[in-house]
Amino acid sequence: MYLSDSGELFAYKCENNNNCPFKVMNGKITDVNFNSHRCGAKKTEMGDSESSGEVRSEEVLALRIKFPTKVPIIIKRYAKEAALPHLDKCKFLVPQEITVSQFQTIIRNRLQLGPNHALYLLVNNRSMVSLSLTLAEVYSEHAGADGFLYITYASQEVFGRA
Amino acid sequence: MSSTKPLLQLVTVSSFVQPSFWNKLSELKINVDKLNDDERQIYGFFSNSPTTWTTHIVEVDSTSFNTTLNSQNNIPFQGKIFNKNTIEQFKDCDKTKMINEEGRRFLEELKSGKVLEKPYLMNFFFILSFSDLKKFHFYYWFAYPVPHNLEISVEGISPISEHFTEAEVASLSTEYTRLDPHQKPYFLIHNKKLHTYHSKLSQVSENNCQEYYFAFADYINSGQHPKSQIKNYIIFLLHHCPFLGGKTLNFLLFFLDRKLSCCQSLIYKLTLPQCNSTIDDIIYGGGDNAWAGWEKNEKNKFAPRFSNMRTTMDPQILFEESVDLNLKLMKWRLLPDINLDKIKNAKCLLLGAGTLGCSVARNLLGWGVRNINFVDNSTVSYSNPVRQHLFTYEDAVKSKPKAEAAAESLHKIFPSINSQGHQFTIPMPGHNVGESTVESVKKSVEDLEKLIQEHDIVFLLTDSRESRWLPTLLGIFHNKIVINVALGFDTYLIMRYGRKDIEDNVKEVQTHSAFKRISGNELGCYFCNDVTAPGNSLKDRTLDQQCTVTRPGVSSIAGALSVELTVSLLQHEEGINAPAFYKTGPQHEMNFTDDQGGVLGILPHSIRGFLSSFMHVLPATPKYNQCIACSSIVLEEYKAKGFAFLLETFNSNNYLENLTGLSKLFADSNYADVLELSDEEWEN
Repeated sequence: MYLSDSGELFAYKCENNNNCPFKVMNGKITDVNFNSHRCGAKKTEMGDSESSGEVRSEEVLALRIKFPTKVPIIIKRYAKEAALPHLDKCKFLVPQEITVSQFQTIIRNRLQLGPNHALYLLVNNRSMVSLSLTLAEVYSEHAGADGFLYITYASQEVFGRA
Repeated sequence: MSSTKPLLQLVTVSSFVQPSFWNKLSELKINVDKLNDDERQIYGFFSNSPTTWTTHIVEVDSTSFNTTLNSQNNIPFQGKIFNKNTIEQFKDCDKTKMINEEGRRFLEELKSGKVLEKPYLMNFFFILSFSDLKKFHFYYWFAYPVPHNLEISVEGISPISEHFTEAEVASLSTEYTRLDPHQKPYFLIHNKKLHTYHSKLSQVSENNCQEYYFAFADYINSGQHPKSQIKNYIIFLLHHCPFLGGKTLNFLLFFLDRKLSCCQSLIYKLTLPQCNSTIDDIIYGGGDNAWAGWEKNEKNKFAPRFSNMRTTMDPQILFEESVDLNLKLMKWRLLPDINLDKIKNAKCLLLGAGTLGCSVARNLLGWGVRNINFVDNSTVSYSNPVRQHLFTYEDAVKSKPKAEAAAESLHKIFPSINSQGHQFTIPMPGHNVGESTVESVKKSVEDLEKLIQEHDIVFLLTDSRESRWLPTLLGIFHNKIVINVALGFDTYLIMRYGRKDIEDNVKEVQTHSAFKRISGNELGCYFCNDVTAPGNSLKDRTLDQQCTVTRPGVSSIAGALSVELTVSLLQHEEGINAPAFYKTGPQHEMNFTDDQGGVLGILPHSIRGFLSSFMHVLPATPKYNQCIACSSIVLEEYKAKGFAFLLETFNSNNYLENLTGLSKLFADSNYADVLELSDEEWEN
């Protein structure tokens, strides 16, 4: 469906073989089925953006066509994170011209973090990006093969002495 | 005819090794020769004798390794040392072959005229040795090669006074002391005057040879046996004057006593062997293995001697040398280019003497670092010693200040360390400074800044985000190497800071499709990753949120990694300016190449470890131009206003955010344009 069957890294089956169309209602996008994205997310974590130039999933393409100035982002909490809350949502379409620092401000607000709690963002579970970059720049470099940009957030380490 | 006369009895000289000889040998082996076990030229010399000896002693000491002879009144010996790499090589080498090779080499020198120019070369020896530098054990065997096939008979021995008047003896003594050391061991006397061989030997003829005294410097023992090197002397004479063969000649055993008088010297009437063709025929008449002279050991056996220097050396010096030995051995094979002095002399300031401080200090010790100072504000508590491995139960009972206890502990481990503890609190943003405390906070700032200026490397090992702010600012402001280490429960972060540089010359550069490079002056700091200024993070937190609740191994791992990163940085030719490379593509396909790193390999900007998956990632991030610690806005503000600026940040949470424009960023961030995608089923 998303890739040819021969694509090893991404050769997964969607559980119900649905096409996962997004439905845009009242300016917001809702999703009918996200199983495929979950699969996609897991696969991309392993496979990285190696084949980012290859065929992207159809719905992301559809999104990109419909919202050419927004980038699709999947943001998750670091699996072992204990101090930070979960986000109530984890898929976003974000204006591509905003900077990472602005994006981080948005995340901080959504998490309702006090000023004393520092966090950091990890792209593809591996890279850190400059706060000065725009999301468009980050997206072009780090987007996954399925068209999403995968970001993880975690508390900044602070301990050391006691 | 000669068989009826008594043969001249000779003694083999004995060796005496001064401890300084072994010290020098160790030093040369470790630092210069390393794996190379080629021979080394050395000098030996007759010991200054009290009066007479039962045996003749050749001494070696640290000056033996000098390149030029400097032995004043002593009689020099020319030697070499074969210091083997393993005890097996020492045992297995063919001793007969060795001594014969050295003998042949001497003959070559003799024939080339070298010996005539420098007669002291007839006094030659060599040492076969193996040094176990870890244990300070030395195995060695001296050899004084002489041809064993040479027979010399004695006609008679008489005191010098029978041939020379008292005045002549006195004048000979004076002339002797003026001789060049190379000429002192062997010389000629003709007409009561002293002559060197190269000036006079050509005038010796069959007719006038009885007018000469063939002198050699030696000691007189009770049996009146000269040193065995007389055999080399005879060969020398027969080679240059074959007509002396079979002749009976006057030999002078020249002995200079402590009053610099040679009045005790003896005159030997010796008959030389016949020389019908060449000296080779005389020497090798009985076979090829014509050279002998291996020294006997203490048990009077032909076997090596053993010396254990461990007991003779100052344990503190021994300890220090052993510390360095393990590091210097790296240079032998693995890392010939490593500069250990750079590490040894680096002055390290550890801010925080807790679990990370202890770990970092221990690893620095391992690298031979000699200057480690601590700053901490608290005392050792009961929960500390099991994880903070510089502390003990005793320290906790006495509530010792941590910084001081850590320094004391380092002294106990390694007495030669320079280590001090400084007890004060690092001032922090958001921790209000009241009127009454302004002076003490100001002093802390001054103390901290002074310490940072005095050191080369600053480790940030404190316990909160806000306590890292001032040292980050000051470390970057003073262009020091700053290594920031921070722990989470099962994660850790190690990060090196870049150099202060306001100019934006080299931005991120793509060097390879799979790598990017950030130059050293563009690397970000701990605070470049978030948009919030540090405040008082310890307020309103439960105990488990305030303490370092981590997996116990995390601090050791992070401490060790931070020291290794530091050492890699010190060994990089660009040091603090070393660029960071990071991968942009899938990791498994690429490896960093040599030209991207220093002597010890690549230099990441940061290392993030995740113990839950035992994984490391090496992200690199450039400076954030609105960073609340390292951006030029902040550095300039500190430069302009100094403590007044710091006071503002301590007292106000928003001051830094306003200064760097982060407040504006918060206000401007427009969230309306962000679309959420619903994902109820996501969290499984």
